[in-house]
Amino acid sequence: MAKNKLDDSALMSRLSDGDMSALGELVCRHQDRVLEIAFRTLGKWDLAEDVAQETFLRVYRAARKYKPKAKFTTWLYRIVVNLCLDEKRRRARNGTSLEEVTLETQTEPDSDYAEKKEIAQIVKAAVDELPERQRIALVLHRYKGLSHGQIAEATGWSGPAVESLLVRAYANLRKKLDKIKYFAE
Amino acid sequence: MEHITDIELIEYLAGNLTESRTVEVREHIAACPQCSQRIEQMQKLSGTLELWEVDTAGHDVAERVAALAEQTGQDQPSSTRELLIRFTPQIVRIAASILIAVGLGHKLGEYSVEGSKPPVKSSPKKPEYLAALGLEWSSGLAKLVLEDHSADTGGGQ
Repeated sequence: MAKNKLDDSALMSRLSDGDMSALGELVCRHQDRVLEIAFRTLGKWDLAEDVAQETFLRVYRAARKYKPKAKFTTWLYRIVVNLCLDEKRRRARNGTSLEEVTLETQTEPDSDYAEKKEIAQIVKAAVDELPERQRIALVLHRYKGLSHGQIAEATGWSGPAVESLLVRAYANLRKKLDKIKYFAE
Repeated sequence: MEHITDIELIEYLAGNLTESRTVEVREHIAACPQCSQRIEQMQKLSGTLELWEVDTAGHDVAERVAALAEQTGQDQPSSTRELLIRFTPQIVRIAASILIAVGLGHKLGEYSVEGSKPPVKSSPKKPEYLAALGLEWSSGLAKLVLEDHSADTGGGQ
């Protein structure tokens, strides 16, 4: 059976038998979502790539012991979230900041594309300013389409905690972004 | 009228409520200006957040992962059986060392139980029991013992 027809659990089973092409298929299938979560959480591509790389290495190392109790992506998200949190704590201990807000100035801000790009930068900056757990909950909810129950499962946080994080995250963003033209319309 | 909770409002817009609850919320919004305004604000915020697009093209980690996984696979044993095979020589060496240490300790212990000290030599002038205790004839304690002994046995008469 072609590997692209196998589900994630079947690929993990093949990987545990030493089939490295199964790992390649898993990476191909899931690296975009892993990279996106990592980038939206950490704000830098080099860090996002490192987290993505380590995520799949952990998938590989855990293959022999992997038992599909939940969806593969739920487990995958748990790994990504934990790695992102570890990276943020590591940088906090070293005194380095993740914040890298670069608002591009446009000579002709009238163009719709330039304006949207500028707003995107502002949105990124606003999300970057959220406390780490609010940021993660928001990224998983708004950009990966997880419900608050699924976020609780993926992160290991309690249901009420996730609800609170989401409510506060959206409330904080509303305050930060209420002056933007798109939001005010 | 009970208003929609914040989390329900968020999940309603995300399409994560059950079908029946979605209908209830929709009906409430239609009848409640306050909740209607809250929904409108959330929709605008959601639209603004949508503008932050992320393009992952050019950030492929597949090759790096494959190379590192290959290296990891070579460095690490892949099963418990292989772990045992790898560490058996060390386990045997440690077990042998323990056995030798226990055996030596036992032998040394045998000598100490039977008495490694030479037999105590006694003389007519130095009673055996004093010699066994390591007491000198001239010690004050020995004199006292002998004087008491003489009194008990009538040796002084």
